[in-house]
Amino acid sequence: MTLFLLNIVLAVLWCFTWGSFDFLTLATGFVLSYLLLGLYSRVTVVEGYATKARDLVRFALYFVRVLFVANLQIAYEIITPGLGFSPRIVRFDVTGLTPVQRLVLVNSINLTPGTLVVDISPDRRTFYVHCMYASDYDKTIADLNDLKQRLQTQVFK
Amino acid sequence: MNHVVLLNILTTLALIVGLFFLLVGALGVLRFPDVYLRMIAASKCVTLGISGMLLAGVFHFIVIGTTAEADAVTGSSAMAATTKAVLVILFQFAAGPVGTHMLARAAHIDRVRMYKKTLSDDLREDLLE
Repeated sequence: MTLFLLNIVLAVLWCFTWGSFDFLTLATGFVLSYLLLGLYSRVTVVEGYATKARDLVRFALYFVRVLFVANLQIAYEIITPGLGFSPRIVRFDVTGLTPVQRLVLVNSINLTPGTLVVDISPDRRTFYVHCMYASDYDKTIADLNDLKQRLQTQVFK
Repeated sequence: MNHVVLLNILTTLALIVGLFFLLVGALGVLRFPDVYLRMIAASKCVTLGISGMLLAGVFHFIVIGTTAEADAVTGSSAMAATTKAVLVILFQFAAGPVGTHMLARAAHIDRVRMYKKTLSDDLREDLLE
């Protein structure tokens, strides 16, 4: 059912991109989104859509806030004279995350300025994260853990 | 009329924010001491900058779509522009970080020299073990 709704939403989205709602456009959009969802439903199973969507919005708001604050921090660093960096590459334990969760976590870490995933250990249990301001080792890890925790409770339940 | 003024203000604000972060990102590439820090400036400020510019475009097209001389065609082109802008922002958020990660990884494998005040490098330690 959810997949069917998603299918319709995607078809309408397709019409928006073309800026027209003829039958032909809608039909093309429907077929294309059906094919797309066929691929998608093999990767994941969609359930509990409503609460999931609400939690996603909450995470998105948190994420935009972090993005802005950290970008302003970098902007301040660039504009004011002198460089106050204390960079480090730290280990960050991600044992127990599924591949999709790791993917989203890497993207979130990379988008939050100041942190950058440099490498992932061969057993895929550790991220190596480059941080701009890491004079306090434990606090850096705690911040990353906060992000991970939010991802786990608000995006993947 | 009133909401057109409001939308124009929003357009200008989004443009200013977007351009500010793009400028800051460019300055950061010039000023930052090593490849990782430069990459941070180059990728992240630009993500926010592009989002700002695209949002400005969205507001502008909404203004065009709602003015007196607008007809059905410009109205729907506003919608098309909005959808495309939102999609581009989403794709940017999905694809940008992956590129940054690959560049950082390549730099580390290549042993690019790090900033002299770098405190520690756990990855190098683990590789040496």
